[in-house]
This record gives sequence, structure tokens and C-alpha cells, in this order.
Amino acid sequence: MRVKNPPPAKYAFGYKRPPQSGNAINGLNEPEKRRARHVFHNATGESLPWDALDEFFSQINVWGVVKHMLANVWQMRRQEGPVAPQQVQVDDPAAMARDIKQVAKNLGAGIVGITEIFDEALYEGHEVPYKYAIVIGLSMDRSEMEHVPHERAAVEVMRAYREVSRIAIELSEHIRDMGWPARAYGNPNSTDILHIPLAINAGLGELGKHGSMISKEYGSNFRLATVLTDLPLAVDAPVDIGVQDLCATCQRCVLDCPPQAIFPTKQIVRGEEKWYVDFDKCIMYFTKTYGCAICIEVCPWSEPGRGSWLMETLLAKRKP
Amino acid sequence: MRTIDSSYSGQINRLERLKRDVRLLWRIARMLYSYLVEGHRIRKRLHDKEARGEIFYVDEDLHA
Ligand code: SF4
Ligand code: SF4
Repeated sequence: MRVKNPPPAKYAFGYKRPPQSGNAINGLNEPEKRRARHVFHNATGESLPWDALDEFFSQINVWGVVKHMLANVWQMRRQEGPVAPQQVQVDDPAAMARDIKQVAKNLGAGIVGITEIFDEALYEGHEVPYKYAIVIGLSMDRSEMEHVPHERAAVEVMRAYREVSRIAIELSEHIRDMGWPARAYGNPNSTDILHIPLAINAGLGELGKHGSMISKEYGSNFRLATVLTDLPLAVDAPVDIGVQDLCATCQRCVLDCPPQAIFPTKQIVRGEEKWYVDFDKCIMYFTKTYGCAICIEVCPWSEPGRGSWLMETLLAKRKP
Repeated sequence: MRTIDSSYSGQINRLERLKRDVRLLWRIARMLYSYLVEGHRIRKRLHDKEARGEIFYVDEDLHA
């Protein structure tokens, strides 16, 4: 996919006194492992250095986005609720995991994976009283996303967030009806958990150079929501679909990113070498265009029907 | 117009849940009002400044 007429990376807005760099908050070049800190789109109520831009982002956004966002806030009141007193006993966590994935798919989920919750998937200062994460991915409508970085794509992103949040909420209600505690985490505003590390550990895909996850089913053309629970479930393993092989040579997202925010090589971030996007550069363009998303749509993996072929080709190339 | 997730509320009774929902509806109404009224003012000021070739400073002009 080629991007049609992206606006230039020039801004009629900015900070008079710029806040602490988002890259420092994210731990760029920090050799020690530590948990992530909230930097933008945070729903915890705590005050953050980039709050003014976040507020500005909401206020200049288009009504189509705001409408979905408000509806999502309303439905998220059901993220938690009463747990049925009678608990369904689980003798076979693998069978239960299969059942739960089927329920999620019946509710509309595209891809579903399960992982145990681990330290790096929680924000600094946040704990959760659950053992497992069920991560749900929902594809966005590609014909709408072809309009990145313009309004129509932004509306589709928020519609997908609202829909994937609904699926997570209804799945959490299903689990609570079985007598097990569960809490749904929607998006885009974050509180306790980081969805992408959980999704990667749950075998939904790999981290791409553009800083988003790539799945073989949808590339990066999807949105995530998560259900945390104590229901005993068999977990999935991380996958290798060849993303690193292609990202090592492909420059597509790097070249197409108007503010040149995507690092061409892996960086050290909180003690780990990984793909990274310059927050300070990206966030200005992201705000100007109500969410940008150019990088995830131009990625070859996001071309419908291409993921499985790419995976097979890339993995076959590795064979001696 | 920040969204704030509800705190853990699993074991609250029906009346408390109703109160929570009313509070949430009130907050959504305030967010909507903020977008329509304050947001309109912000969007207008941004366009005016842009037309004059000036920068809208989010740390100064947002609530000016
Ligand atoms: S979302 Fe950010 S990193 Fe991706 S293309 Fe847009 S500005 Fe660049
Ligand atoms: S566009 Fe290319 S480099 Fe960027 S994430 Fe996709 S495959 Fe990797």
C-alpha cells in the first residue's frame, strides 16, 4: 500500500517549555531492566509530563473518533463485576483454554492467545491480582485504513478499539459467570498493563521495526484488548514467524514515516535490545493526524492475505 | 478530556453500582461538554494562530 498525500511534518502547535523527553521516560539507552512508565494516553488519573499534548489531541480530534471514545468509556464500566458464587472446576487447563478461545472467537475476536502475566508487562507502580492474560486481536477494516493518515482511518482505529474492548468485556463476564475473577482491559488508554508484550508472549506475533506487533493473520492492521483472570488456562508460546528476518533489511516504514521517527536499527530500551520509535518525533505527527498509523499500514505484513506466504518464504530461506 | 478507568469494583452491590454508573454518565457528559465547548474554542484558536503563522503552545494556550 502507498500513502496518498501525507501532510508534512510541520506543526502549528508545540510546547513553549518542552517536557522531559518521552524517550527518557520510555528508558531509551537505559542499560538496566525496569518496568515501563506511562507517557501518553494514560487512564490512571496520575498527572504526566505530556498531559497538555494529550489533552490537545483529544480536543482537536474529529467527532467520529470522540463518539467511539465516549461509547467505549461507558461500556468499560462492565470491565469488572460480580463473580458467580458457584465455581466451575477446571481439571484440564488445555481444554479450558480451547473453550475460552472459542468463546472469544464467537464474540468476534480474530486472534486469541494466552500467557501468564509477567513483570515487564505491568506499568511501574501497578500490580494486578491475576495470573493469566487472554489477549484478543481484532482486524481493522483495511479499506478504511487505506486512508491513513487522515480522518477516516482515525475513526476506524477507534471503532476497532471500541469493538475489541466489547469482546474483552463480554469474555470477562463469561469467565465471572463461571465463578472465576476476571477483568477486561480495553484500549487505547492504558492503566496497569502493556498489551503488546502480553500479546507477543501469548504467541500472537512479533515486535516489528515500527514498534508495533506483527501477526501473520493481519500484519499490524489490528487492535488489542486483554482479559486478566485466575481461571486455570494452558498458556501459548511466543512465535517466530520471520518478522526479524524481514525487518533486518526492509526500510519501508522508516522511509514512509513523515517525521522520520523510526530507528533503522534496534536500540537499548530498559535493558533490552529492541525496535524503537522516537516518541518525541512520532507524537507530534501522531497528534497532528489524529493517530497517524502510516507505518502499520505500509508494512508488507499488513497486506491482506500476505502474512502466511511471507512467513513460509522467510522461514524457508533460513534452511541451509 | 482524559478517560479514567474505574477502580476495582467487582464486589460492590447493586445500589453502589447504580451510583457508580450515574457518576460515570456525569463524567461522560462533562467530557462531551468539554469537547463541544472548550474544544471548539481550542480548535478555533488553533486555526486562527495557524492562519497568522503563529504557534499554538499547548502548555500556554490550551486553557488561556
Ligand atoms: S505512527 Fe509515528 S512512527 Fe508510525 S509513521 Fe506515524 S509518525 Fe511515524
Ligand atoms: S515495514 Fe518493513 S521494516 Fe517496517 S515493520 Fe514492516 S517489515 Fe519491518
